[in-house]
Amino acid sequence: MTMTDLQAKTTAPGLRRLLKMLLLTLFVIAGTELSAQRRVTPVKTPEPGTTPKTERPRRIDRSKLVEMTDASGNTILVDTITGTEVKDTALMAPPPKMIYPLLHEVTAGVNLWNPIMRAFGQSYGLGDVWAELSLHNRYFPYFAIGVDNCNDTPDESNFTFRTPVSPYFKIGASYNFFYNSNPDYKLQMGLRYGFTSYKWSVENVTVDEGYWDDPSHFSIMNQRSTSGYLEVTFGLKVKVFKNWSLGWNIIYHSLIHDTKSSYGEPMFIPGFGTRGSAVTGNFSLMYTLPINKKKTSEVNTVTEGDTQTELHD
Amino acid sequence: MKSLVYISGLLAAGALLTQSCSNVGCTENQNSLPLAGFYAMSTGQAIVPDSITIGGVGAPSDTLLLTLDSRQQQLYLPFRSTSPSTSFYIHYCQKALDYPELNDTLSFDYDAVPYFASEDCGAMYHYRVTRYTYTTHLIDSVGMTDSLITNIDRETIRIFFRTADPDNPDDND
Repeated sequence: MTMTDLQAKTTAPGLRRLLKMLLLTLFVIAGTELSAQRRVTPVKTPEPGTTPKTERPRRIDRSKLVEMTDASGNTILVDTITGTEVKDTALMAPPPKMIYPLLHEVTAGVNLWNPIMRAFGQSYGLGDVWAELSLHNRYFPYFAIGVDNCNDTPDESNFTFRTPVSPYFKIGASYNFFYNSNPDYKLQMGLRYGFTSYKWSVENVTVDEGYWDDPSHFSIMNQRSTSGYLEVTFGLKVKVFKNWSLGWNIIYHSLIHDTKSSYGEPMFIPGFGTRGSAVTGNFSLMYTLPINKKKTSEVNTVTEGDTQTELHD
Repeated sequence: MKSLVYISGLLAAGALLTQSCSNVGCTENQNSLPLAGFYAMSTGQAIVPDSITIGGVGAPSDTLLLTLDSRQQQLYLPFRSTSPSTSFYIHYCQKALDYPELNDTLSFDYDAVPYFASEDCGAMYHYRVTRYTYTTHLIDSVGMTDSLITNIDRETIRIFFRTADPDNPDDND
């Protein structure tokens, strides 16, 4: 069959009718296919004269309810026939999200870690003072300022490393996991950024290759560095007497920026400690100054008299 | 309260433990020591030369760095920190070569830069080699992979010898 024959046939009126019917049939088949895809969930109807197995919640007959107050002071509704007790949740005050006020306390502390470690032979570190503000007894913005120095000749080493008394600063925040508990005890995790600018020297260096039997000596004097580091802290605080508390922290720290020097890297960084250590500690004696002693729940408590006044109004 | 006391004790013990375990020690050399490797010029392969001795020119008591008994593919050639240059000699002990005139000499000129590596590795010099020369009795050539000698334990000097081909032993320079 040629193309001309095909065109002649398709233009014939009988064939047009045939095509229309064919299209109609296709639509009907497509519609049938769609309806065949519809899912039907079979439901087994219970047999007549039997009770369904699933138990429905019992309905409480409100006419038989008596209003009472339980030991916690909550209003409860008691069904006098069945003895069922139901708490009247409409009358219950919603539990506060944070029971301590926004501006709760200010705590100031002295870090005694380095003085204690110096007593055990450490050759560096002095100490710092810090302060933190308690927000809802949950969040604690933190700021510390301190000074450190170093004068260390490690065992079997060929040098003396010195850093004069140099300042450092730390800023960060902590989170108290026991935020709705007694504020005398805190379990905290924190994040801090430390910054320091300092000088360092390596003195009395003796270099001996061991072959030439001709040792040489030198010193690297007054190099200046600036360092920044990040600290992740985990620790706790315990009240020991009146407003005085003690606190421990384990600190994981990491240097994030450091001035490069052609004479090497300083082994001690104020506020950070020795370069090689990833973990250090903190032990603080602190004093807490309450700002707002009232709990949020106490502030929000509505007395009966007030309620009645509101109702009358 | 009791649990807090336990946690406190645990934290204190942990902190003291971490203080005592913080040092990892020096994983590199405690001095900047140039490491030289020996190679055959014909094949470019690393070799272990036999019947040679190596020492520093002017070393106390003519102490050797490589003796006849010790056969090595690599050898440290320590620079003299009090001097701006250091020379080493290679003496060949084979019968036909056992003459001081046939010794090869290798000399390095350098700048010594004071450097503090770390608490564990200590302070040392880094050497910046500015020039090196050598004689070519049995040495074919000498190459340096880096002109800066640090305490990192890596080969920076390559000494290529003219060696006899095992298949043609007579083919010796």
